[in-house]
Amino acid sequence: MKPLRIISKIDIKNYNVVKTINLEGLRVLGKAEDFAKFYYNQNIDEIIYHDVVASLYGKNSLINLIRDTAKNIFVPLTVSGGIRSLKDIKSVLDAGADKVSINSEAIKRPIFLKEASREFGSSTISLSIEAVSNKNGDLEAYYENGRTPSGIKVIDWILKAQDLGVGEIVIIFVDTEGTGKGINFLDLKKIENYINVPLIVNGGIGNLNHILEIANNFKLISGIAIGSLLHYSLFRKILNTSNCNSEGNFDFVKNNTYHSKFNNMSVKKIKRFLKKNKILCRE
Amino acid sequence: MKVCILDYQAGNIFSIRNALQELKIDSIVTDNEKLILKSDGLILPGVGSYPKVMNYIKKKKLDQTIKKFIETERPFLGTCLGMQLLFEKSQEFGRTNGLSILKGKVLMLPKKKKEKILNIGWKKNFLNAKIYKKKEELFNNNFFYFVHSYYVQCTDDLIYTYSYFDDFKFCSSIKYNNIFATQFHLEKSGKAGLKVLKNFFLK
Repeated sequence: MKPLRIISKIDIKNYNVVKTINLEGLRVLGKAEDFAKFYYNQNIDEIIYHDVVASLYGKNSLINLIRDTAKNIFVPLTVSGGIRSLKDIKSVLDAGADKVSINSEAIKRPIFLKEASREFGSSTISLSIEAVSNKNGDLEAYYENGRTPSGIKVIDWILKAQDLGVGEIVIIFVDTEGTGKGINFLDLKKIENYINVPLIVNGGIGNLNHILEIANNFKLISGIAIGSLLHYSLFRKILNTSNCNSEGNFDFVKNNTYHSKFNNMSVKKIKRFLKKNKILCRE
Repeated sequence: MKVCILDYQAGNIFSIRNALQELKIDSIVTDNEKLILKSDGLILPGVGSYPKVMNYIKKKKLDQTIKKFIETERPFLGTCLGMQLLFEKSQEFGRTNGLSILKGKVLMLPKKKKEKILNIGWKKNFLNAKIYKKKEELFNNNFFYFVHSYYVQCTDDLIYTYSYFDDFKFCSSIKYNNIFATQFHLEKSGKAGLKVLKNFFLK
């Protein structure tokens, strides 16, 4: 009875959509608001705005963007990046977001998750985990946008965060992020028995079969967050960088390049494909 | 057409306002009784905890305003917590009395062994076929967005649609005279949600 949520994860720097590989290197693809609006019109189930530089600068700079986006988009909007205090959460929610997802601050100060879910309700507080496979074959939680290892095992972190009251977990597989190689099933198997809140997976979705295989093999997964596969397919259609903030690497957009791996994909196509394969999702 | 959104200091009231704006329906956020009784429609939006919100409503005597408005027989809409408040009492954090405009109570969704009790996400809805014979396509088999841990238990004649939490069937919206209320968030349910909102106020 639980439909699979198809979520668009939009990484943002200065109002622009950027894409990384393994969370490194920023390539500008267009205006975040344009992307969000397009996905909404294609019946995306949810949108995640992730401020990629917020962790470094220590503040979330998305407030105006959230406010503008919430005027046009009537599906849930989750915001992550640089959420450090109850005040930060309130300002993001007041601007029109429905949920926040927290990583760095929770690693530094786990009790923050408890304070936040008490104040705003568990359904509003999600945990982001940047998972990296370490030498011992364990998944380790990283923070500050995949830059800093925390020394905490992902499994332990999941258990603790659930106890602290988070209502949802977004796990980003950094090793495959932006590669389109698909999410490593062994990694998913490692964590599946520890999850008791809705789980969203992200990092590496490169084609329709990647989505279908996850849906078929991991029934507990509540949502799949997709970045590159949708963004690269879309950015040529709405090639409009005239209003983009000028900072960043625009080469990809300027050269009107095709991404060899990610093209010709859309939210509608994904949902049609899932329906054909008997996976319940909202059309 | 001017619609009031009841201001009870709850978070994210502006989502519903944005939705009305998208539909080109004029709205104001207020707790002023005169303005509310003059308006063409009233919305009781839904974010917050039951006891906290009821306290505030009583303190500001908004319960009387809501009842007076409903007596005008103009369209009244409740969403999520706004639907639950219409009933007699809730289990949320102990026991709290509600507005008692409709008969019924608010209970916690049934708990499974390990899972946290939270119904979050898009769920299908089904028309209460005993009463509503007409196939109202908009509701039947359509997905709407839910975020809640409590549900309304009431008599069948109030129920407009059902939905499911795993295999537990619960009331997802109610209709009674000029009152329409949904457990799901119309303002977050994409185009289907906007359409319901539009139909309710502009038909």
